[in-house]
Amino acid sequence: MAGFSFVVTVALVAMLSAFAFVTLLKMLDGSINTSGMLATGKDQPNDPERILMLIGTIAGAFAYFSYGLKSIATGGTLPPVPQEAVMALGGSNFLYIFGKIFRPRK
Amino acid sequence: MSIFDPQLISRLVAIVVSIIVLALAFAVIRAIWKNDINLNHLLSESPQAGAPPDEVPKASLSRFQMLVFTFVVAGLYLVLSLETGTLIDIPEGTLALIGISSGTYVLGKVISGQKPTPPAAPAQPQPPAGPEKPRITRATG
Repeated sequence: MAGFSFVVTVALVAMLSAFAFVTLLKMLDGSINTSGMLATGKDQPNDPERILMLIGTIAGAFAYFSYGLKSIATGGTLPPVPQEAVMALGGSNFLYIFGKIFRPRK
Repeated sequence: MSIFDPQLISRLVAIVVSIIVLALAFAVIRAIWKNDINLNHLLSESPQAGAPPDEVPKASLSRFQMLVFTFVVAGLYLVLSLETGTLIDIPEGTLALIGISSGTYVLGKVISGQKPTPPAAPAQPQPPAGPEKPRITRATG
Protein backbone atom coordinates (compact mmCIF):
# COMPACT_ATOMS: atom_id res chain seq x y z
CA MET A 1 0.00 0.00 0.00
CA ALA A 2 2.91 2.35 0.70
CA GLY A 3 4.10 1.94 -2.89
CA PHE A 4 0.64 2.70 -4.27
CA SER A 5 0.31 5.73 -2.01
CA PHE A 6 3.64 7.03 -3.30
CA VAL A 7 2.56 6.57 -6.92
CA VAL A 8 -0.74 8.43 -6.31
CA THR A 9 1.10 11.23 -4.50
CA VAL A 10 3.50 11.71 -7.38
CA ALA A 11 0.65 11.52 -9.91
CA LEU A 12 -1.44 14.14 -8.06
CA VAL A 13 1.45 16.57 -7.84
CA ALA A 14 2.25 15.91 -11.50
CA MET A 15 -1.38 16.62 -12.48
CA LEU A 16 -1.46 19.95 -10.62
CA SER A 17 1.90 20.88 -12.11
CA ALA A 18 0.65 19.91 -15.57
CA PHE A 19 -2.43 22.10 -15.12
CA ALA A 20 -0.26 25.05 -14.06
CA PHE A 21 2.15 24.36 -16.90
CA VAL A 22 -0.59 24.23 -19.57
CA THR A 23 -2.09 27.48 -18.24
CA LEU A 24 1.32 29.18 -18.26
CA LEU A 25 2.07 27.89 -21.75
CA LYS A 26 -1.24 29.20 -23.07
CA MET A 27 -0.57 32.58 -21.46
CA LEU A 28 2.87 32.73 -23.06
CA ASP A 29 1.71 31.80 -26.57
CA GLY A 30 -1.13 34.32 -26.38
CA SER A 31 -4.05 31.87 -26.36
CA ILE A 32 -5.15 33.24 -22.99
CA ASN A 33 -5.83 36.91 -23.49
CA THR A 34 -3.68 39.11 -21.24
CA SER A 35 -3.91 42.37 -23.18
CA GLY A 36 -5.02 45.46 -21.32
CA MET A 37 -4.37 43.93 -17.90
CA LEU A 38 -2.45 46.96 -16.67
CA ALA A 39 -4.84 49.63 -17.97
CA THR A 40 -8.33 50.72 -16.98
CA GLY A 41 -9.64 50.51 -20.51
CA LYS A 42 -8.46 49.40 -23.89
CA ASP A 43 -5.90 51.66 -25.61
CA GLN A 44 -5.30 53.55 -22.37
CA PRO A 45 -1.90 53.99 -20.68
CA ASN A 46 -0.83 51.63 -17.91
CA ASP A 47 -1.92 52.62 -14.40
CA PRO A 48 0.66 52.73 -11.58
CA GLU A 49 -1.63 51.04 -9.05
CA ARG A 50 -2.05 48.07 -11.38
CA ILE A 51 1.71 47.77 -11.87
CA LEU A 52 2.12 47.89 -8.08
CA MET A 53 -0.48 45.16 -7.62
CA LEU A 54 1.11 42.97 -10.31
CA ILE A 55 4.56 43.25 -8.72
CA GLY A 56 3.09 42.60 -5.25
CA THR A 57 1.20 39.55 -6.49
CA ILE A 58 4.17 37.93 -8.20
CA ALA A 59 6.64 38.77 -5.42
CA GLY A 60 4.25 37.67 -2.67
CA ALA A 61 3.33 34.42 -4.40
CA PHE A 62 6.95 33.56 -5.11
CA ALA A 63 8.06 34.35 -1.55
CA TYR A 64 5.21 32.36 0.00
CA PHE A 65 5.84 29.36 -2.25
CA SER A 66 9.58 29.23 -1.59
CA TYR A 67 9.03 29.73 2.15
CA GLY A 68 6.41 26.95 2.12
CA LEU A 69 8.72 24.54 0.32
CA LYS A 70 11.36 25.16 2.99
CA SER A 71 8.82 24.35 5.71
CA ILE A 72 8.40 20.80 4.35
CA ALA A 73 11.67 19.87 6.00
CA THR A 74 10.91 21.62 9.29
CA GLY A 75 7.30 21.18 10.30
CA GLY A 76 5.10 20.32 7.39
CA THR A 77 2.54 23.08 7.85
CA LEU A 78 1.58 26.02 5.68
CA PRO A 79 3.78 28.97 6.66
CA PRO A 80 2.04 31.89 8.40
CA VAL A 81 1.79 35.12 6.42
CA PRO A 82 3.17 38.17 8.27
CA GLN A 83 0.55 40.76 9.24
CA GLU A 84 2.51 43.45 7.38
CA ALA A 85 2.41 41.44 4.16
CA VAL A 86 -1.37 41.04 4.44
CA MET A 87 -1.75 44.78 5.05
CA ALA A 88 0.52 45.63 2.11
CA LEU A 89 -1.43 43.37 -0.22
CA GLY A 90 -4.73 44.70 1.09
CA GLY A 91 -3.55 48.28 0.50
CA SER A 92 -2.42 47.48 -3.01
CA ASN A 93 -5.74 45.83 -3.83
CA PHE A 94 -7.60 48.79 -2.29
CA LEU A 95 -5.69 51.15 -4.60
CA TYR A 96 -6.59 48.93 -7.54
CA ILE A 97 -10.29 49.07 -6.66
CA PHE A 98 -10.05 52.83 -6.02
CA GLY A 99 -8.52 53.34 -9.48
CA LYS A 100 -11.14 51.11 -11.05
CA ILE A 101 -13.92 53.23 -9.56
CA PHE A 102 -12.55 56.70 -10.17
CA ARG A 103 -10.48 56.45 -13.34
CA PRO A 104 -12.53 57.36 -16.37
CA ARG A 105 -12.86 54.53 -18.82
CA LYS A 106 -12.67 55.46 -22.46
CA MET B 1 -7.61 -13.26 3.76
CA SER B 2 -11.39 -13.31 3.19
CA ILE B 3 -13.01 -11.24 0.47
CA PHE B 4 -15.00 -9.38 3.15
CA ASP B 5 -11.87 -8.32 4.98
CA PRO B 6 -12.37 -4.58 5.78
CA GLN B 7 -8.73 -3.81 5.07
CA LEU B 8 -8.91 -5.40 1.64
CA ILE B 9 -12.12 -3.51 0.83
CA SER B 10 -10.66 -0.18 1.97
CA ARG B 11 -7.56 -0.77 -0.17
CA LEU B 12 -9.68 -1.60 -3.20
CA VAL B 13 -11.81 1.49 -2.68
CA ALA B 14 -8.69 3.63 -2.29
CA ILE B 15 -7.25 2.26 -5.52
CA VAL B 16 -10.50 2.73 -7.46
CA VAL B 17 -11.09 6.27 -6.16
CA SER B 18 -7.47 7.24 -6.88
CA ILE B 19 -7.73 5.93 -10.43
CA ILE B 20 -11.02 7.80 -11.01
CA VAL B 21 -9.63 11.10 -9.65
CA LEU B 22 -6.44 10.79 -11.67
CA ALA B 23 -8.40 9.86 -14.81
CA LEU B 24 -10.67 12.89 -14.34
CA ALA B 25 -7.67 15.20 -13.88
CA PHE B 26 -5.98 13.69 -16.93
CA ALA B 27 -9.13 14.10 -19.03
CA VAL B 28 -9.45 17.77 -18.03
CA ILE B 29 -5.79 18.52 -18.80
CA ARG B 30 -6.03 16.69 -22.14
CA ALA B 31 -9.18 18.63 -23.07
CA ILE B 32 -7.47 21.92 -22.17
CA TRP B 33 -4.42 20.96 -24.21
CA LYS B 34 -6.56 20.08 -27.26
CA ASN B 35 -8.67 23.24 -26.82
CA ASP B 36 -11.86 21.27 -26.16
CA ILE B 37 -11.97 23.29 -22.93
CA ASN B 38 -11.39 26.84 -24.07
CA LEU B 39 -9.31 28.91 -21.66
CA ASN B 40 -8.90 31.90 -23.99
CA HIS B 41 -10.99 34.15 -21.76
CA LEU B 42 -9.81 32.74 -18.43
CA LEU B 43 -8.37 36.14 -17.50
CA SER B 44 -10.77 38.35 -19.46
CA GLU B 45 -13.29 40.67 -17.85
CA SER B 46 -16.98 40.18 -18.50
CA PRO B 47 -18.03 41.96 -21.69
CA GLN B 48 -19.61 45.38 -21.16
CA ALA B 49 -23.32 45.78 -21.71
CA GLY B 50 -23.96 46.93 -25.24
CA ALA B 51 -20.51 45.95 -26.47
CA PRO B 52 -20.34 44.38 -29.92
CA PRO B 53 -20.26 40.57 -29.73
CA ASP B 54 -16.98 40.23 -31.62
CA GLU B 55 -15.12 42.63 -29.29
CA VAL B 56 -12.44 40.90 -27.19
CA PRO B 57 -12.74 42.06 -23.56
CA LYS B 58 -9.57 43.22 -21.79
CA ALA B 59 -7.78 41.04 -19.28
CA SER B 60 -8.45 41.46 -15.56
CA LEU B 61 -5.60 41.82 -13.06
CA SER B 62 -7.74 40.59 -10.16
CA ARG B 63 -8.47 37.35 -12.02
CA PHE B 64 -4.77 36.93 -12.64
CA GLN B 65 -4.02 37.47 -8.95
CA MET B 66 -6.64 34.94 -7.93
CA LEU B 67 -5.23 32.40 -10.39
CA VAL B 68 -1.67 32.83 -9.07
CA PHE B 69 -2.69 32.61 -5.40
CA THR B 70 -4.90 29.59 -6.07
CA PHE B 71 -2.06 27.71 -7.71
CA VAL B 72 0.44 28.64 -5.00
CA VAL B 73 -1.77 27.83 -2.00
CA ALA B 74 -3.31 24.72 -3.57
CA GLY B 75 0.08 23.41 -4.63
CA LEU B 76 1.63 23.95 -1.21
CA TYR B 77 -1.41 22.49 0.56
CA LEU B 78 -1.32 19.38 -1.63
CA VAL B 79 2.41 18.84 -1.20
CA LEU B 80 2.37 19.40 2.57
CA SER B 81 -0.75 17.27 3.14
CA LEU B 82 0.71 14.40 1.18
CA GLU B 83 4.01 14.79 3.01
CA THR B 84 2.50 14.71 6.50
CA GLY B 85 -0.26 12.24 5.68
CA THR B 86 -3.04 14.39 7.18
CA LEU B 87 -5.09 17.40 6.12
CA ILE B 88 -3.09 20.31 7.49
CA ASP B 89 -4.43 23.53 9.05
CA ILE B 90 -4.52 26.72 7.01
CA PRO B 91 -3.15 29.74 8.92
CA GLU B 92 -5.32 32.85 9.28
CA GLY B 93 -2.90 34.95 7.26
CA THR B 94 -3.20 32.63 4.29
CA LEU B 95 -6.99 32.73 4.51
CA ALA B 96 -6.79 36.54 4.65
CA LEU B 97 -4.61 36.51 1.54
CA ILE B 98 -7.09 34.39 -0.40
CA GLY B 99 -10.00 36.44 0.99
CA ILE B 100 -8.46 39.75 -0.11
CA SER B 101 -7.79 38.37 -3.57
CA SER B 102 -11.29 36.91 -3.99
CA GLY B 103 -12.93 40.04 -2.50
CA THR B 104 -11.08 42.24 -4.96
CA TYR B 105 -12.24 40.03 -7.82
CA VAL B 106 -15.88 40.21 -6.71
CA LEU B 107 -15.71 44.00 -6.13
CA GLY B 108 -14.07 44.50 -9.51
CA LYS B 109 -16.79 42.46 -11.16
CA VAL B 110 -19.50 44.51 -9.45
CA ILE B 111 -17.84 47.79 -10.44
CA SER B 112 -17.31 46.66 -14.04
CA GLY B 113 -20.96 45.69 -14.22
CA GLN B 114 -22.17 49.05 -12.87
CA LYS B 115 -19.80 51.35 -14.73
CA PRO B 116 -21.57 52.55 -17.85
CA THR B 117 -19.65 52.68 -21.07
CA PRO B 118 -19.58 56.20 -22.57
CA PRO B 119 -22.19 56.54 -25.29
CA ALA B 120 -20.92 56.64 -28.83
CA ALA B 121 -20.93 60.07 -30.51
CA PRO B 122 -24.14 60.57 -32.47
CA ALA B 123 -23.63 60.22 -36.18
CA GLN B 124 -24.00 63.39 -38.22
CA PRO B 125 -27.00 63.22 -40.55
CA GLN B 126 -25.74 62.79 -44.07
CA PRO B 127 -27.51 64.55 -46.96
CA PRO B 128 -29.28 62.12 -49.21
CA ALA B 129 -27.17 61.07 -52.15
CA GLY B 130 -28.58 62.03 -55.48
CA PRO B 131 -28.12 64.32 -58.47
CA GLU B 132 -26.93 67.74 -57.46
CA LYS B 133 -29.53 70.42 -57.83
CA PRO B 134 -28.57 73.26 -60.15
CA ARG B 135 -27.73 76.38 -58.21
CA ILE B 136 -30.06 79.22 -58.98
CA THR B 137 -28.25 82.49 -59.22
CA ARG B 138 -30.18 85.65 -59.19
CA ALA B 139 -29.02 88.25 -61.58
CA THR B 140 -28.68 91.58 -60.01
CA GLY B 141 -28.71 94.99 -61.49
